[in-house]
Amino acid sequence: MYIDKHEKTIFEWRFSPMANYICPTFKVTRSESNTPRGLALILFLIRSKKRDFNPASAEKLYQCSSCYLCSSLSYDESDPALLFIDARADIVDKGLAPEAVKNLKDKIRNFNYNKVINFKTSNRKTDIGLFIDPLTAGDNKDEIEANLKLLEKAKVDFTVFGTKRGSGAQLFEIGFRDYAKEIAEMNLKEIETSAIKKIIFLSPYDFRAFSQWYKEMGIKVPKNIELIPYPKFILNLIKEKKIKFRDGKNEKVTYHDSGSYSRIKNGFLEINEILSYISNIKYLPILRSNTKASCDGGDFLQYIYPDIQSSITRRRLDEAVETGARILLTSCFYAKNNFERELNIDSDKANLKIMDLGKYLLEYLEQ
Amino acid sequence: MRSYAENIFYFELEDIVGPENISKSLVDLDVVSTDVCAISRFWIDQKEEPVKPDYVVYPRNTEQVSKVMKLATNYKVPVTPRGGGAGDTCGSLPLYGGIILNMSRMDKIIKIDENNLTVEVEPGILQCDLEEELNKKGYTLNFFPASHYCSSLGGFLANRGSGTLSSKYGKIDNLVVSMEVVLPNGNIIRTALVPDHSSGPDMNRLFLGSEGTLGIITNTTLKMFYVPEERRFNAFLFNNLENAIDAGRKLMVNRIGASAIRVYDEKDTAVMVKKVLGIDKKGSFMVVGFDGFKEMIDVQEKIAFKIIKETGGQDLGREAGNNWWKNRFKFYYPPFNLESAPVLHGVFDTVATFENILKIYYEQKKEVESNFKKWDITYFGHFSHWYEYGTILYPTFIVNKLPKDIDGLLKLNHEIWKLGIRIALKNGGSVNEHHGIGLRLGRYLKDMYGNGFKMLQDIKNAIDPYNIMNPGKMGFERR
Repeated sequence: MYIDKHEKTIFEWRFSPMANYICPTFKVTRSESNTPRGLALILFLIRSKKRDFNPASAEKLYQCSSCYLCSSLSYDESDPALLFIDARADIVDKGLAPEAVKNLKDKIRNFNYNKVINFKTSNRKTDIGLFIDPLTAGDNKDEIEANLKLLEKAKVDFTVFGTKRGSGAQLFEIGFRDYAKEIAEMNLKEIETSAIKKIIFLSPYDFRAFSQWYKEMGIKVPKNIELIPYPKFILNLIKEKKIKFRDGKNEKVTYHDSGSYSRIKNGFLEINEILSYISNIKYLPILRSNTKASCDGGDFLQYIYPDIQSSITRRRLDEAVETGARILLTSCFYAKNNFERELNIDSDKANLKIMDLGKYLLEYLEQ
Repeated sequence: MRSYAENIFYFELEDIVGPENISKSLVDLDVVSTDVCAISRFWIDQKEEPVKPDYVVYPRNTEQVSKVMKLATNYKVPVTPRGGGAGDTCGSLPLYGGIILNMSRMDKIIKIDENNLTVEVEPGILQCDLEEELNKKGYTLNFFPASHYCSSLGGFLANRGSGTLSSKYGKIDNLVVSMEVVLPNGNIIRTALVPDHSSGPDMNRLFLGSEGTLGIITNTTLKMFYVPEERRFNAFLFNNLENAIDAGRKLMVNRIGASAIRVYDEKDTAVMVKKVLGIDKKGSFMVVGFDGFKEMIDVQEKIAFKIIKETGGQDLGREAGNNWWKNRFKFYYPPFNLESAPVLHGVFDTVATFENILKIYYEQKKEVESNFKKWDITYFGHFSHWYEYGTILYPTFIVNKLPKDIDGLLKLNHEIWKLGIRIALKNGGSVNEHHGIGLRLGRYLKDMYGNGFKMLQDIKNAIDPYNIMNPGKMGFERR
C-alpha cells in the first residue's frame, strides 16, 4: 500500500492531537475523525489489519483539503498531509473512491485542453518557461493576461507551456496516480526537448507538483531546472529594477498566502517585500499568514464536498475582513475563485474586493 | 428485536440533535476510543478491539444536552462526555459503550464583558481558539496548559487543569465565576454569577474536577485579564535541585508575584532541556517569568533575581528564558512528545507542601529506578506549578524495554503507578495535581480521602442514581 512508507508518520501522529486545532476541515466539521490525529489513527488501524478501507474512511480522507497545515507543525520529516494523499491512492486502487471523486477525475481527463486560449508566447526557444494551469485559465483570462503583461514590461522572454495537459496536481491529490504520472512524464519530456531552464509557475499547485509530488511518483525533475513561484520571480524583477511602480491610492490591502507557495521549500513568503515597493498602500497581514496561513478551500474540495469547502473559504474570508483591508490579494486562481464564489453568497463581505496579485501590480506599473 | 430496540433509541437521539449531529459510523466510533493515556494507546497498539461507544452525539445547545440526558436516564444508557480527547487518564473512554457526548460543536463565545472582564463561553471551544479570540480584543485568560492547542475548555474544567502561568493566575478553578450544568436527569442548573458569596456552598466546586461523573458543563463564565504590557522570562542554573526548589519556595512565600516558575531536575535538564531547547548544562535548569506593567516587573525581577542568586542560581539570561517560553509547546509535538516514542511512559504529578515535595521526589526516583531496573526505566521530573505553601512534582517515567503482550504491559504500568502514587500519598502528596483521575487513578482516591470518598460516592449516587454518567471513572462503583 502507498501508506506503508509512512509508518513513522502514522506512529508519531496516531495519538497526537496537537495539530487538530489547525486543521481547516476539523474547524468546520468539529468531528475528531476529520483531524490529523483521527485520520492517522484510522490509517493505523488499517495498516495493522484491524480495519479495512471502506466508504466511511474514504469519505473522511477525501474531506481533508490537503492544505499541509498539519505537516507544517512537524519538527521532523513526518508528513501527515502527504500520508492522507497517499491513502487516497490506496482507496482508488481498492475501487473505493467516492462517486464525486471519479467524476472529478473524468472532468479533468475529458477537459478540452485544445480550447484553452493560446496565450502570447515567444516564437523562439527560451530558457524561461511559464507554466499555466489550463483548468483555471478560462475563468482567469484577464488575470493571466495581466501577469503576462508584467513579464513583457520587464522584457522577459518566455515560453508558455502546461496548457495542453496541466501538471497532474489534482489527479495526484485525489489518488489517480497512473494518470498523474502519465502527465508528469509528458511534461518532463517536453522540458527535455526544450531550452527551458527556469519554470515560473502561475499556480501554486503546479509548483508543488513539480517540487514535491513528481518525486513521489518516481519522476525526477532535472536538478538544473529551477522552479520558481510567479510572485517570487516578480520580486526578483522588482529588485533588479526591471519593474517599477507608481504611487498607490492610499489603499489597505491584505494577502492570502497559498499553502503550496508558503509551506514548501523555496516557495514564496515575501509579499510584504513586494508591496513595500508601492508607496501609499498599507499592507495589513491576516493573523494567520505565511507558513501558517489558513486554507482557502483548496483546489479539489469544491467538486467533492462543496459544503466543507464553502465553510473553509468563509472562515478565511472572515480572517481577511478582520484586517480591515478592502482588497484581498492572492496569487492562486483556485483561491481567487473560491473567494469570489463565496462572496457572491455572503453579501456581508461585499466590501471586500478579491484581486489577483499580478493584476493588482499591473495597475500600479510605471509606464 | 434487540437491534430494533437499539434503532428506536438511535431514532430518538436523532430527533433531538438532528441526523447531522449523530454518528454510528465505525470511523467516528474508533477515533473516540482513545485519549493520550498510555493504557488506551497500548490497548490499540496491541491490536485489541478499541473501546468504542455505540454512538457519537454532538449537541448544539444546552437544551439538546438536557433532552439527551433525559433520554439516556430513561433508557439507562451510559453517557461519556468528551472534549478534545487529549486527556491523560482514559477519562473520556466509553468503558460501557453507550453515548459519547462530544461537546466540540458547542464552541461559541457567548459574551465578552469588557466592564467586568469576564467571558461567557461554551465548553467545546479549544483553549487556543478562545485565547486567540480574546487576544484580538486585547484580553487573555493567562491560561496556557501544555495541551493549549488540543484540549477544550470543558476538559480543563472537568479535570481541574492548570497552565504554565498558574503560579500567578491559579488553575482553571480560579478563573471560574459561574457555570451552567446539565444533571443526569436533564435538569439544568446555574451557579451564582457573582464575584463570591456566602450563600451556601460554592456549587462550582462540586462540578470542577468531577470529570463528567456528575453532570455536563454546558456554559461557563470565566475571569479574563488585559494582555500584559510585558511578559518576560529569565533562565537560571543551579548546582543542585535542592537549591533550585528552595529558590522557588522563597519567591512564593515572599509573594513576589512570579507568573511562572519551572525547575527541572538534573536528568530532565540533561535530557529534555537539551533535546528541545538545545541548552546543554549540568545542574538544575530554572525559568522564572513575570508579566504586567513594565515598571512593576522591573521591581519584581530585581527582588526575585537577588533571591535566586543568593540561593545559588547562576543567571543564564533573558534569551534562554524567553526561548523556553517561545518553544514551550515544542515538547509536546512529534518527535519530542513521548507518545511518539516506542516506550511506555507516564506522569504521576502530585502536589505537596515544600517540606514534603522533595521527599516524594527522592523516594520515587530511588524506588522506581531500582524496582524496575530490568525494564530499563528512567525517572526525571520538573516542578512547574507553585503555590504559597507548596509545589507540584511532575515526574515522568520512561520504560525502554517493554513486555511483549498487552497483559504484561498493563501489569508493568499498574505496578509502576502503584508504587509512585503510594509514595506520594505516604509523604503527604495528592493522587494527582492537574491531569485528573479518570480510569487510571480511580482506585487511589479511596486511599487519599478515606471516609471523604464515601461521601463523594453518596453524592454521586444521589445525583446519578442509575450510574449513567461516565461510569467506571474516578473510583466510583461500577455499573
